[in-house]
Amino acid sequence: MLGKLIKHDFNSLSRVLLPTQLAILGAAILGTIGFAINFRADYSNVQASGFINLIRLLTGLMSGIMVLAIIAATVLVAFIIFQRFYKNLMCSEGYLTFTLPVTTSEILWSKLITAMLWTIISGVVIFIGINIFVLFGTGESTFVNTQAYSELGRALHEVNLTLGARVIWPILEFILLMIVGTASQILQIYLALIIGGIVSQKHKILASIGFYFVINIAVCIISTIMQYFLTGSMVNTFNSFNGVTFGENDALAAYNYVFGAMQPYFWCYFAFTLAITAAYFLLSRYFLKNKLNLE
Amino acid sequence: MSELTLECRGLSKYFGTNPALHNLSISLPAGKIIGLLGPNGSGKTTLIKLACGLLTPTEGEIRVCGFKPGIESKALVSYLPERTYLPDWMTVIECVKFFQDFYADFDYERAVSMLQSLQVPANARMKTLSKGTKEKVQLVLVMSRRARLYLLDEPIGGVDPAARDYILGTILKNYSEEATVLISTHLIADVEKILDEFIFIQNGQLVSYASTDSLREDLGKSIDQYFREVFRC
Repeated sequence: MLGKLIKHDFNSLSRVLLPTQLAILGAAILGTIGFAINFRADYSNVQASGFINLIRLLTGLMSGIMVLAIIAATVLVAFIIFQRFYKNLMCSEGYLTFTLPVTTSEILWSKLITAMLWTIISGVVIFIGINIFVLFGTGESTFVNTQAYSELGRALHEVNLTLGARVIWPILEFILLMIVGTASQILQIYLALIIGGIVSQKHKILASIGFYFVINIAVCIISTIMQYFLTGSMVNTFNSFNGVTFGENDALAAYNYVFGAMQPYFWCYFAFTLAITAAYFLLSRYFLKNKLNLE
Repeated sequence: MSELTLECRGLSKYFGTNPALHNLSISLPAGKIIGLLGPNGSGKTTLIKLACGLLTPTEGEIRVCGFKPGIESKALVSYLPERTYLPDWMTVIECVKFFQDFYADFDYERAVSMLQSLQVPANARMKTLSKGTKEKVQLVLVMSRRARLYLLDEPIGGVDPAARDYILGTILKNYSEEATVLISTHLIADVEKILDEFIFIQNGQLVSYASTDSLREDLGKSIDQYFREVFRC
């Protein structure tokens, strides 16, 4: 049943979100064209004239507006994800969602997984947009600028020479934290929408916004307490870096030293984020299961 | 599995301090079409929503075929709410496929042929349909399941008299021996002819639960006449 729910939720989101992604790509291409013209106008030897200045002004404006359009589209993606959640669960469509022979957990998992998938898709589309910009927008004299990529390749090659494959670990840790952190953000808003929708009959959205801040404050208090205990030990760790010296070519030893020292803090923070995320999920499930009152 | 399709014991539901249902105990057998009748605000919709698990009881318990509201009961209950609940961007046929996806007891062929009889355009989006047509689509979906308990909240309120007859005919034709149909409505005269039993509730409490035949034989009255007497304003 979870598979069916995901399929349906994904389709229902895609219908609205696909156009926003095309808009992001379109804006990236237009912005790139604008920037490319603007950039080359600066480097060309053509005498500055009224016409050239006008072109500069227009293309500069064009790439600026496109950046704003991409930001707007990204905000819209988040808005649509949460709007679908709210309409599908807390409004009329909830009559259908909650009478399907599925468990509350399955409903929540489906909403979380589809929201994560679309966050990733949106991230990939923006990444593609940035690459289009770097490739075609930033060449001084050539149409395609591959300089950035060869620089990046060289840097990676050097990292690989000194550190080897172990450099993958901090990257994996970062990705892991990104995934759990995103899930946590999504579930926090879901929980606020659920509580707001249950508590208030008339001003559900307003109540949800209020509960979002209440949840935020609660989490802030807990994380402050955690930081209080961690900070002292962290300061000690950083102090211990003083006086430690490495040879000029000993990047590997330095990396091992710093990365090793940071590990406990990373895992503490990760465990904390994971616990908060699980709490959001379990609370959401509890409220939907035991307190649901669709008017 | 329990012989009783719907069982309420000491069921109460309060909204704030207002009792929508108060200490209601009733057991409904299989194989009957039962009218759930009462004046506005008597608790009909509340009872139905409690049976679906859309509301949680304040006190007491409610069971469907022995199951408390949950995944097992939801697979057995076919619920028609008094509002439109299908996503408005879906087409009629997408809604049919949605039901087929989630309900193991859904009969696709039956749904499609009923939609044709009612001349509902299969490829139209829900939002382009009139209120009455939307209600027809929902009723077709709900009645195309082979459920154990059908909970129909005002199923014929918004449709024209011709469609009303077709719908009542469909209900009669589709329900099976082991299924119970509970119909909440104000249009007593229209549904009276298909009802085996009727429940009167008022202010969240049971007023009477009897069979249509016994009412006719003992008092010589129709449900409609009896309703007007009991609930005289």
